[in-house]
Amino acid sequence: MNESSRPILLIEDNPMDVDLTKRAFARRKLANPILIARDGEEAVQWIGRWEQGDDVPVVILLDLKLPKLSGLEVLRHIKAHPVFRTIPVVVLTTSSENSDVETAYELGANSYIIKPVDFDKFMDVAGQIELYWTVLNKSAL
Amino acid sequence: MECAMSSDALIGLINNAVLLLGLVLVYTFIPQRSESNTQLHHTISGLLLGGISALIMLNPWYLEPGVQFDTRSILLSITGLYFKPRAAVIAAVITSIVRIIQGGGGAFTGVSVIIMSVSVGILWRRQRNADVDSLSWRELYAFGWVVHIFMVLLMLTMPRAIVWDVLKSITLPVLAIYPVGTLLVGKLLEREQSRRLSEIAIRQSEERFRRAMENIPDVVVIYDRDLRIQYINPATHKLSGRAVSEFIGRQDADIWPPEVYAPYMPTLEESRKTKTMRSIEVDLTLPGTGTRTLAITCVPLLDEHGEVREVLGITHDFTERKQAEREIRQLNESLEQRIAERTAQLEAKTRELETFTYSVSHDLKAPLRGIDGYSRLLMEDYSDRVDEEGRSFLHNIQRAATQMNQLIEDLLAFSRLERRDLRRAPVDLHALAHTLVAEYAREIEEHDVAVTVDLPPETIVLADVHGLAMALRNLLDNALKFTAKTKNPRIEIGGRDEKLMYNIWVRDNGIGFDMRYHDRIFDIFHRLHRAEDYAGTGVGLAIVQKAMQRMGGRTWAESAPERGATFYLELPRTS
Repeated sequence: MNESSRPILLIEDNPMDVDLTKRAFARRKLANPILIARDGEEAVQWIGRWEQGDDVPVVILLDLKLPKLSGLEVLRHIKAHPVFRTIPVVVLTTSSENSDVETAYELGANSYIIKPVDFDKFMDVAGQIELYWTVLNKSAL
Repeated sequence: MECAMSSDALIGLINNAVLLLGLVLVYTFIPQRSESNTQLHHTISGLLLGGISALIMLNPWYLEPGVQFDTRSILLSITGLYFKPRAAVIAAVITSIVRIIQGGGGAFTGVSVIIMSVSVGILWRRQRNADVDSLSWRELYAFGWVVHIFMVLLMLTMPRAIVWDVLKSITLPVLAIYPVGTLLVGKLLEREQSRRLSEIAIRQSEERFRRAMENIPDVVVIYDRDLRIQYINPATHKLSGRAVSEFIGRQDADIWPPEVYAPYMPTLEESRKTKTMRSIEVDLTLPGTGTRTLAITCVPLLDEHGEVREVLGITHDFTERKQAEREIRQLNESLEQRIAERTAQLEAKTRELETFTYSVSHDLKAPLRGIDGYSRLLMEDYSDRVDEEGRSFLHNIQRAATQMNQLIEDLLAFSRLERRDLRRAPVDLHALAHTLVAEYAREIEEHDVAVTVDLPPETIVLADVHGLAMALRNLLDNALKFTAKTKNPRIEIGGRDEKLMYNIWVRDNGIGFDMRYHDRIFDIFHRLHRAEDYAGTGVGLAIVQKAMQRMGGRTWAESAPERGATFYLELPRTS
């Protein structure tokens, strides 16, 4: 399966952030479709869909502060899955708390990126993510 | 004839001496309030001893009518020696009067002997500073000899016609009998004296203990060897409400129900059996009283064969103290509980604050990103439809967002410093300073700042490396900011070992500040400059101060307007 046709799952509750992320990726001419989960529960439901045969994302972008289930709980679910634990999870959040960073890595996060406020920098980050995780990185699935 | 005279004298004088001993013995039986050391007492003693002397003078041995011999010299010298001079003088006066009344050729000599005997006694006593309680036998015997050698010499004052006869007949008997008599009479009085003194001592001691027993608040019981109560002190009435007479001659089991005596009886019996002291602490409810907490101590009293004669039982009522202790313990417990509750409340508050700052970081930044992002998109995608003024508005929106973002970041750094544990460890200050300077390479180059690090290589200080780096970064930020408009800007990082402390400084030649504002610049959000002149959030120096406080150090500054500023960081050398 072509890496650029596989979706990216964006787990993010803030509609403005969702929109800005989509636009940032669009500006980087990213071809991957972007799937959205608006809270922790919705994110976990995606796992069920992949088991049913839906396309497995090439990377998951995970916000930590989410309604219902927190980002760290979602991370625990994904990384506990026998198959889908190999999907790279990039934590993309505003929190720079050491405890959040440490817990995220302990639970198996593949990367931890602090969301910049500045839109230019945010676009930079989107570009780096795309380059690294959808182009350079070879995924297991 | 001469021999017969001498043996007559011997027998006569022995008779008189025996009479003297007998009378002195009788004298010792006369009850006296010996503890009284009054003039009256001494007078009475003098009268009694004078009386005894008079009695023996009425039964003398006669050499011839008017020339008589008796043992008054023994008693009078002893009186002088053992009694106060007042008593001795009174005795001497009585005997002298008697002798003068008796009259005859030997009267003058007789009175002389009386005066001599008393005088030698008084002088001997004075020589010993009245310390005559236990004279040795030898000394007393010697005293007898001295007195009676004088007596024999005084015989020379007899009428010339009989001097020779007198000396011949009495010298040997006197010297044989009188010193021994002196010794015996002295010892008799001395023994009586000491018996009387020990009697006083015993009486005083008894009085002392009786008083103690009657007045101490503890109950004191003396049991005989069958544990029958022989004595019980008045305090028992206060504790039990019963009269002392109800206890005497009875055993505890006859007095109390089993629930009262059962708890302490084994201890009492054990003390009697083992002949050692035993104690026990019991809560007893006596009929008619509440429950009392008592400490009972049993002490066996042994006789001369080492057998238990009596057992002493001492009961100390410390109900009130026990109650107070209990209350103190309860108060302490409730205090501890309250402290724990307060601590838990405080901890909850702290957690709440932490959650709050976390929310601030997340929730305030998301809308900020929206503001910045959409104003940027507007500028880029719709620039053809926005005029110059509109674009400057958008630019201001973005600048405001950037500023607010910085404020949030600084606040988070400050609050993190508050919450984090700062661990002090050896830090290579020289290396740290160079690393930090390297971080600012771009700004330093841009403004052409001359930066010097004046620290010996491998300068080691005890600090939390993150806290110290944060403080130094803020000072470097400031130094760069406030030298931005200075010609030939210079920044110097230096340090000095001050024995107990290590001082680090960051010095610049920038705009400086008025020392009036020294303390305020370290307050959070406090700024000395307008935002358009020098950007900043007013958090930087508050972070420096907080970091130093958390590391047990302090910070201060020296400056003057347009004369640059030096900021100091002081770190303790020991942890």
